[in-house]
Amino acid sequence: MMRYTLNACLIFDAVDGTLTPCDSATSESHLSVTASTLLLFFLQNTGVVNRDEVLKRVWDDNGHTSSNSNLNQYLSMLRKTFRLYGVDNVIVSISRGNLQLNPAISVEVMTSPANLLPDIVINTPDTFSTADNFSSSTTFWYLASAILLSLAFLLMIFTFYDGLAASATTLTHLHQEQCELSVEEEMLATFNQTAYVKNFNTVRKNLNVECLPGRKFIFFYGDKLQKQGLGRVFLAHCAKQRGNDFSYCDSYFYYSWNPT
Amino acid sequence: MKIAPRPFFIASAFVTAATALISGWHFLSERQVDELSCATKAIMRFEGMQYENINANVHFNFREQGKGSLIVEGYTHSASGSLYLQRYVSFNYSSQRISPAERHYRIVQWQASASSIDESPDVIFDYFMREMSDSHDGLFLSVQKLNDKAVLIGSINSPLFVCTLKPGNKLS
Repeated sequence: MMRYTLNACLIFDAVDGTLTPCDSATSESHLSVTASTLLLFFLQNTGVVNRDEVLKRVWDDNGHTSSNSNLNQYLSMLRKTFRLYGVDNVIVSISRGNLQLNPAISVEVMTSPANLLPDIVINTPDTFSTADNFSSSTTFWYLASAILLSLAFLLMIFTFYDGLAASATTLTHLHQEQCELSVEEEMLATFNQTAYVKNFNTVRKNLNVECLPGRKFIFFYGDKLQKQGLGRVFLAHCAKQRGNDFSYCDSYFYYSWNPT
Repeated sequence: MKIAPRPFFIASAFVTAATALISGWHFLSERQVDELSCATKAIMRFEGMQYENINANVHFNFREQGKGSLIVEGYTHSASGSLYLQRYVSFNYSSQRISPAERHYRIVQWQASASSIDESPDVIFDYFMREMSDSHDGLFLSVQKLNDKAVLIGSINSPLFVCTLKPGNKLS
């Protein structure tokens, strides 16, 4: 369907990249995919085109890495091949890095023998149907890349998200005389603070533990009614060291505090 | 600079594969989140405050695959006098994260044994173990993070120990 006659003596089939001489005196040539795409581009863009445009449409849009040396190589290849069929300088270089299909070459678009789909190419001379395929292919690759990168990003967030990391329990700090006392908020919500501090001092003094700088306490007792004592009592007496408030602790526990 | 689509895709695939490897490694290294090892000094007074006491170092070890141990070494003070205590408790456990600051450990099967030099009466050690009871046959311990180096271990009823984490340990 995408066949062109050049100079009325050479048939280029863009589908398989073959160059077939009309007289069959010389043998058929097969162009590589890139060379074929390059030639097709010039056949469909017969005006002056910039090298950058060629690189973009033939290489970049097709997922290949473009370079001027690649373009030069393929231009040279096309010129050499066409020379075999008596066509000199099929692509001409024009100043300022522009290129053009040699205007001296006549180009005719061939209709298919069955004449079933002749208009597809003929009626859309400015479109580059192969380029459309390239474009959709390019979109596909970019889309797939975007999906992969999004996946990687989500995976990273999931892996290193620190929201699930353990955080320290919340303690309220009370300063009583020289004592640094830490208490769970729940304790303070349950007990009167004055009574709490008084009971702390009672237990602490009973244990002969002094309030000294660099020491820290955690105090708990369980009996809300305090009719006969404090119930279960816990007092941690800790030494602060190198920024650690609980560097070394003595943990005192009374099953049933009743000093009497 | 525009990157051609196929090389870009290959680079993306490489980045994703590398991320997957890093995530896998991270996941495997963090798999045993409930492993914990810490030590504390406990002075515990039971029903008879003046004559049923334990003064001991306690080592908690929650190891991999739900296995753990508890080592208690010190002295008991009772009517029998002040006697050396050295007990080893092995157990199976499971754990559950309760909040960012707290994890619960449930010990379903445990077995205590005394060392050959242990002289302390079983009744005092039983008091010690019973304080961690889950009201059935097992034990229950809540572990709250105080900071990166210490946790507060408690029972159903009360806090029991401020436990200093051994090097390399953290509450996850």
